[in-house]
Amino acid sequence: MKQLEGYWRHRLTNIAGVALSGVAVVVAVIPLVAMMAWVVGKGAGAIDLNFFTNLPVPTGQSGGGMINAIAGTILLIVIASVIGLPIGILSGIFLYQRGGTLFGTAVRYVTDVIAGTPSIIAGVIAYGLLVVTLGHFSALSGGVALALLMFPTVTRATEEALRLIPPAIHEAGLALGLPEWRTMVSIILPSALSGIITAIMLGIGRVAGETAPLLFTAFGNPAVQLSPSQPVEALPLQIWYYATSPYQDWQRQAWAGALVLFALIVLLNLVARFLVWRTRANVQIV
Amino acid sequence: MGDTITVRKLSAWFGNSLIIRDIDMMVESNKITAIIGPSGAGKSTYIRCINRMHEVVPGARTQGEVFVDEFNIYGPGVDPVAVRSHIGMVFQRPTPFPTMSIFDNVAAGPRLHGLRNKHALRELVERSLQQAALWDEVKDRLKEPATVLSGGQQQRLCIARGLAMRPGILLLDEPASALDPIATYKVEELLLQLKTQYTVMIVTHNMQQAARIADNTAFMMGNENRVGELVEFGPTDQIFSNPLDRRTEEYITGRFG
Repeated sequence: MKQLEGYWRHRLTNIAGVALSGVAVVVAVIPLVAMMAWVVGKGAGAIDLNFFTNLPVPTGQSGGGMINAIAGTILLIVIASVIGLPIGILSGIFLYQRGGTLFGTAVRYVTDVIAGTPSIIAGVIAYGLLVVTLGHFSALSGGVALALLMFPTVTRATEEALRLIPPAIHEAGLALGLPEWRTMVSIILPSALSGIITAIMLGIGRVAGETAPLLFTAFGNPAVQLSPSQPVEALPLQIWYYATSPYQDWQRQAWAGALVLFALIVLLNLVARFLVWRTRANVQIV
Repeated sequence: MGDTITVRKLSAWFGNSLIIRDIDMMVESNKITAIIGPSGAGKSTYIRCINRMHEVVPGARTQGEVFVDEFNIYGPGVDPVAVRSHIGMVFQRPTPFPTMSIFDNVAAGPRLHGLRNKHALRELVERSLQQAALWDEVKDRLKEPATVLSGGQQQRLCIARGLAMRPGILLLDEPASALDPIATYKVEELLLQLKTQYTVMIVTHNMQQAARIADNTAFMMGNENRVGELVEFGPTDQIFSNPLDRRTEEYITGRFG
């Protein structure tokens, strides 16, 4: 019964393959879930309303919060997004259009190199460009450092999102007599919208937790400060100061800060998904 | 009324490789002209030259002339984008725009060319869907995404989308190869109706399809250097019953291809 032997061999190979994939999934998911559970568990106990409304207090006192760091992180993300997202998305579109040319290959290579640059180097560049020139630390310099880290992720993810749209859709637009830009703006970009939102989220997620490049750019600030030209606090900075301190109440605050940072990114993600879903639901009609 | 198409010494390249060479053809208006031939004969490349779609691929170029009525679409200063808006094209796989509703798909061409009048758009969409024999199936769900339609319906939607631009010519590149026999039959019936108003050119792998619907048939084949050439062109009856070229006969009788 030669065929039957073959059958069992294929069946066993299949079972082994499925089992291995299952193990790989578990191995990938365990650290993720464990980390989330750890941060939520440790952070939830330390968090209260004061955390969102009050400024930090010296160790030993109760009722301290991180309002300065929460506001600072939001300001830094906004500045980084304003600078980094247009560069990232537009260069992603460029790579989709001209990725095969010599210049396109060069752009892609350089983007990958920048993506692999240690984040502290981005801080050094922003320091040299802005802190030295302007003579003081500022939210702007921190935002520029983060934008530098953000855009390569956005560029590559945008390109990938656009490549998922079947080329025939692109050709169908051109065949209607639409110019290239019109096909891009009205057909390809809307089709790739959810992928581009993912690219934006990846970019923001990439920089939201960065600490090193902010040390000598945004610098930190014990007060709530919303001007781009002045130093600001940031959650990762505050978490870092508190976590490395010897005081137990500060360490508890650091866990709370980690949870807030985490929740901030999840929230941002949900809002973006909701916006995409709502645009989809409202298909336009005359 | 449909336009005539006159092709003169048309050649097309991808980079340095010649794909089709020196094609001459007179396509009659308001007739269905089928292009048949084995894979690699350059049929798709050829039909994509008729609306200047060939050149959208980087490195692709053409030489020769194509006259639509009296107008040379490869003449100096002619904008390929404008050419494409006067010639409809349907592809092998249905290509509904995924984020648009059924209505918006059909309205896409005129709307993106600047037609804003809602009443005019509605009329145009209805007329185009009726011409594409799809209106009765979709009139109550124009707001639904086009992707909910079946493959055959999507293909007729793409035909309607092309018709909404009021072209004189409709080009179809193997429009039924991804469809089941019933959907194929519907598309064929539709093309027979459309030829009263448009000039239809269709690339097909399916010889029976050409025999069923085409008034004239062109047989293309790669030569010894794999360069596509027009072997024979004539009335469909004559091509299938009494081909003049030995290669046409061998292909028709299934000796190769």
